[in-house]
Amino acid sequence: MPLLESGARGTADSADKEGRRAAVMAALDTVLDPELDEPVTTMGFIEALTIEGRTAEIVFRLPTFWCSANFAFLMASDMRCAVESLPFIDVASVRLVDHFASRKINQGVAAGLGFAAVFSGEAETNLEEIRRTFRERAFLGRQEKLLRLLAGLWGVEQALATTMADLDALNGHDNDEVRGLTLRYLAMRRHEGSSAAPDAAAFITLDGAPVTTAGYPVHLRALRSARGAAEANAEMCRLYLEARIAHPAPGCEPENRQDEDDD
Amino acid sequence: MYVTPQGDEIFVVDAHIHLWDARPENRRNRYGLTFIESFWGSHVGMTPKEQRWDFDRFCHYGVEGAAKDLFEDGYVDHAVMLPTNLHDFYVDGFNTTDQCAAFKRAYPDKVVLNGRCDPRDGQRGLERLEADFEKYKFKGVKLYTAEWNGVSKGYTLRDDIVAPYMEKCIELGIKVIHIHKGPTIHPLNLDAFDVRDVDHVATAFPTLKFVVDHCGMPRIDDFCWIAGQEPNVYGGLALIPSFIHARPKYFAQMLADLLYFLGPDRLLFGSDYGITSPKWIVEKFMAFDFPEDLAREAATPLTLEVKRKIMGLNAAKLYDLPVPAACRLANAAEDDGEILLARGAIDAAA
Repeated sequence: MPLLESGARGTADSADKEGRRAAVMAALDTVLDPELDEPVTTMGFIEALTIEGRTAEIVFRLPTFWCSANFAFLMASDMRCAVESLPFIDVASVRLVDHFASRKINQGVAAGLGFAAVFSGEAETNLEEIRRTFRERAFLGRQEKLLRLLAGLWGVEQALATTMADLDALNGHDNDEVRGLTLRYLAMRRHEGSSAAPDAAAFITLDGAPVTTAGYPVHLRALRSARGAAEANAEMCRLYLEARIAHPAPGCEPENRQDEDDD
Repeated sequence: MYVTPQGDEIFVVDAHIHLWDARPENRRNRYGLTFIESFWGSHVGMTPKEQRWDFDRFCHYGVEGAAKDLFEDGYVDHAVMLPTNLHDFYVDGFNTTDQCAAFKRAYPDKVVLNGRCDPRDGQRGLERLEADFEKYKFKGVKLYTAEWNGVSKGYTLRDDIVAPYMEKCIELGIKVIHIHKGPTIHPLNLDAFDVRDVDHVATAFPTLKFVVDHCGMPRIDDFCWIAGQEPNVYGGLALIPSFIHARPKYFAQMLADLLYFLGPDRLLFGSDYGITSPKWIVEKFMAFDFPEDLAREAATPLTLEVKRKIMGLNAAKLYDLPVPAACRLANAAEDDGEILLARGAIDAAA
């Protein structure tokens, strides 16, 4: 923290407060809706954020009362982790509102319980499996955007010849779009289990095989479909959330909010 | 009947409608409110501002309201009803076969009534299906794999319990199986929105036609892949055409995928009424064409003939609905053949 002239103390406090707030929001930017591969912040899910001392309270709301409990749980626990990793926060209290399982999710995340424990007897599918399924989709979606861009710039053959070393170099490219898409793809490409050696192919299928020129049209088609599905779904969520905020159904306005549970 | 500016008459089948009752007096609990609230978000989000209803009408529009929205204003020649029970949320149910039957009684020549069944109900469910069929003689049934039933939080079409129900449908002459694969009620399990189980049942029962309602949204890419391989799987579009106003780009993208993988003969228009009314969707869809890049990806040009098929002729074939001569395709000989064949199969089974 910079040394301050005593007269500037008040302004500095508020600047500090703003700074901490911005840091919490930046931490929340890293939390993705696993189904949509979009940050919870840009999706508009964060309704309120308050910071008192070393405690942050995050209130979030999803597009509908009946949005999937598993994704809601994942986002809530990821939010807690992301915010509690900040050095000036000890406790991040995450509160999902207007959702059929809000009480269970809020209590479960606060207690550090796993999804299976919270929804024992109700959910048979392992949450990690769902997370993996959607990570794969997100991987394909990110690959599609970058691959399409590079194929447009360099031609298909050269784009497919991109290695991991080339990707690292692209990460410093002076074109914002190239750099942004590379960064997003690279973050997932490194964690997909396949070789990330400098000479390894950058663009691979889910099985880890390099995408070939011959296989490109079919591969691109599958990628486009996966990305298109996620994007259309994200748009639907945005529309529903906007509607929920701007035109709440009578009885469902924020002042009529109830602590919900699915028991 | 929709008439294009050029004077072409288009036969319209709305292949996905409801007649629901979400009035306060029918709500069993707060879920009854929050469930219709989710639908309301869809109505507000998707419907052009000047076409939106007020919330009270949205909760209950009744037989006459539906007739006006569909048959008078909405260009609809035939409407296909998809029941949903939801007795846990609503005292008399939300949109049961019995509730839907009131619409069928009032407009017997315009309404196609479907039944519903739940393979988890075992022998009792089979008897119920038989009794319902005796009463209503429906051509199709709806299955809702994500629905809760006692301790079960959903099932898949791979489960052994499903086959006896499919066999019973064949025995009764029910040939259309609607499967709700879209945004779910009370979703907890991955299975609730997995569409891959359709593959299994479609292969095992090739004489039945499987309509996947909402095309598996949000798993529309999985759906395209499966339906591309199974000739007896159809895409019930309901929800997808609703994007045409608020998000036309995504509507175009999804339609391009569906046409590429399924072709023009297995897509069924549906408005998902009363989520929204068909009027504005029909108008916008008839005026719609792909941007150049998506036209290439769709590989099927969106000609008037293709629009005729999606708008009504495909559903007419599936449900043996009479099509006025002016609305048929120029070369309809092969289509008639298939209808006759399907009728023959029903007669043989009955």
